[in-house]
Amino acid sequence: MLVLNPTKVVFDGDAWDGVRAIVIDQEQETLVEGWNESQPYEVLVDVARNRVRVKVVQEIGPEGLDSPALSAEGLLEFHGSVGGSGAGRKRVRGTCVVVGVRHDLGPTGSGRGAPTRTVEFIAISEDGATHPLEIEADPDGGV
Amino acid sequence: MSSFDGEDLFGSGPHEFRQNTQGYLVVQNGTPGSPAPGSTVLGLLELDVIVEGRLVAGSAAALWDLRDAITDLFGPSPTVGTLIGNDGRQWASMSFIRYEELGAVEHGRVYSIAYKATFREFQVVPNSDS
Repeated sequence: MLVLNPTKVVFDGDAWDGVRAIVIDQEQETLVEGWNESQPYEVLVDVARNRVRVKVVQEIGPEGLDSPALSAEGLLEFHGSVGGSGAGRKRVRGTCVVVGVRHDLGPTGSGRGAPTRTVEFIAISEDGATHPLEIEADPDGGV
Repeated sequence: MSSFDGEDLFGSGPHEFRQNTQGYLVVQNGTPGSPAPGSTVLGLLELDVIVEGRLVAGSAAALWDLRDAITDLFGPSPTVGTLIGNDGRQWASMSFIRYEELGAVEHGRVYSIAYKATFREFQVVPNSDS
């Protein structure tokens, strides 16, 4: 999932302004596979364990930003829609743990863009069976 | 379809058959402190047929049913029967001697567990009257 220009981004109670994009990726950690005897093609594929990775890309102003500490855990919540339009706005939230913080100066010279900070999270599930991120229609209706 | 003693124990998931080492048990002559050259044939190795695969089910309970169906065959003495491979190959008078689960249950879309089952063609079938 890719959310451009999300609004009301909050992590662990702190509001984050200037968030340019939020990317939610799902990746397999444990892949179960099986082949029948003497046959070339797979007959069993199952993702037994997976990981939900969230990246928040935020523009940094001249004063900079205090970065969250690695391993910090808190509720991440944001509102947005795919493509940044107002249609079909959603609220996404879930408990996330910071696993990386990176900075990018952006293009230099006359085409200089604002520097950005990317905070990478892994979302964690309450019970291991429920998806770690809750996605629902924006209760604020996009306001 | 593979089977042992008429039962489809392994068909819930992919599995493969292989035969273990065949030949003779050969040991070096001599003993510690008393070396001697050469070696001696002690006897013919019994044939082991090994089945390795994954049991697959839609629920944890159904997976337990599959696991229990296998382990329920272990009684006072080994169950003896005909083992039939995926390609129809038959091994008669095989005794089911060992079942190992290789790792934990994995659960994504389905519940599954890897296993290894060993069958042996005993020269003298273990006494089932004991």
